[in-house]
Amino acid sequence: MKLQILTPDKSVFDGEVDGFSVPGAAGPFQVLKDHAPILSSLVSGELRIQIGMKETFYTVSGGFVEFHANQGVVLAESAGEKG
Amino acid sequence: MPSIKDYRLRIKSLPNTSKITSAMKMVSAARLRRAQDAYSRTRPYYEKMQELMEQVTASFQDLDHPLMKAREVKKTRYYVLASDRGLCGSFNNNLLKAFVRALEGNNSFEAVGLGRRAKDFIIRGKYAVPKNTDALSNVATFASATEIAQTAIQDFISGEVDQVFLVYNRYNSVLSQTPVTVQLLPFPRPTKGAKDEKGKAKSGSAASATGNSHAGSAAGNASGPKLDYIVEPNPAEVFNALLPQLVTIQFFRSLLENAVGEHTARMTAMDAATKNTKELIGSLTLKMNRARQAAITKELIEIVSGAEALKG
Repeated sequence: MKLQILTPDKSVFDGEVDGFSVPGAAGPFQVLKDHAPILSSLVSGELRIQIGMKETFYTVSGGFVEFHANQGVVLAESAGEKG
Repeated sequence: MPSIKDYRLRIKSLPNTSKITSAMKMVSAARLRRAQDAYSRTRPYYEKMQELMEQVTASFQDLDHPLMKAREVKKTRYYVLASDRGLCGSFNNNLLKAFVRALEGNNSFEAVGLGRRAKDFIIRGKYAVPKNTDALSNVATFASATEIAQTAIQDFISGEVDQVFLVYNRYNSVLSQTPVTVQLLPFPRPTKGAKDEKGKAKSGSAASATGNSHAGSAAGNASGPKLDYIVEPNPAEVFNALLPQLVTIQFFRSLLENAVGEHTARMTAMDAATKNTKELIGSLTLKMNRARQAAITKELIEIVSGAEALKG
């Protein structure tokens, strides 16, 4: 499945992932392959991307996540990889 | 009539002018590229945002938001976007003229200038200015756009202003920018017809972008029910969060678009100026040569007629 992380001034991440979890406004949740279509607003927090066994962490502040047909898009006001 | 020396001086100074203008053109070209990059980088975010908005408004018809509510207009606020510097042809002039036209028949308004040219114009014209706007710049960062848009939203909700317009230069092509006045608030409610059209246009692009079954179904029935989304925490809240963000990003993009236009206009203006100096050098050289010849002829006549006089 694909995931894109977009902010107003750039695209932070764009690529194939095995799963990701986001800080949803109604509580954090994880999205794996064939997840039902979901649209959620986000709160500031940590976004986790899983590729194989590897996990990458991003910090996002606010925004939205949309997922359908194994295409995920995170729209964040700002996002960056956690160093 | 100017002497040969005057011509020579002017001709000598012109290459310097042309050097400056062509250097300015190069600088604008570099800035233009950067501005264009910045502008196009916002597109994926913006388009996705609009798509989400359409999905939300299409699936949940009864949504309402204070930012969409049109009310009796007592006070209008204009955000006028111009450049900080001049030497960009009619870019700012056209914009300010359009602004003045937009004001016609409206006597209860306030104006915020972004960019020095607009600011000065508003001060000179003694237009009413809202409080705390001195420090605003038109440097297009998302943070500054957010700040301005947030203020606009707050003032709209608190009832301080009933309408917010944005006056800026829409970028058509390298050769043309048109000043436009766009309503920012209340947020224009998508009309049914426009949405259908947009949906169709969009589904085309969505099909190429995502290439999945969703695009196919959307193309078949643009206004029909969309995907069954799980919406968290609930549609209304997502919608409430989306709308201000959409206003902000629209504002941000206008800032960037205006910057692109500014650099384009300056580039064109400087290119024209460089060409003009070349033409001017040509015509001045011609005039100088004529003056030189006239002087020679005059001297010859004097010598000949002097000799004639001595002979007689």
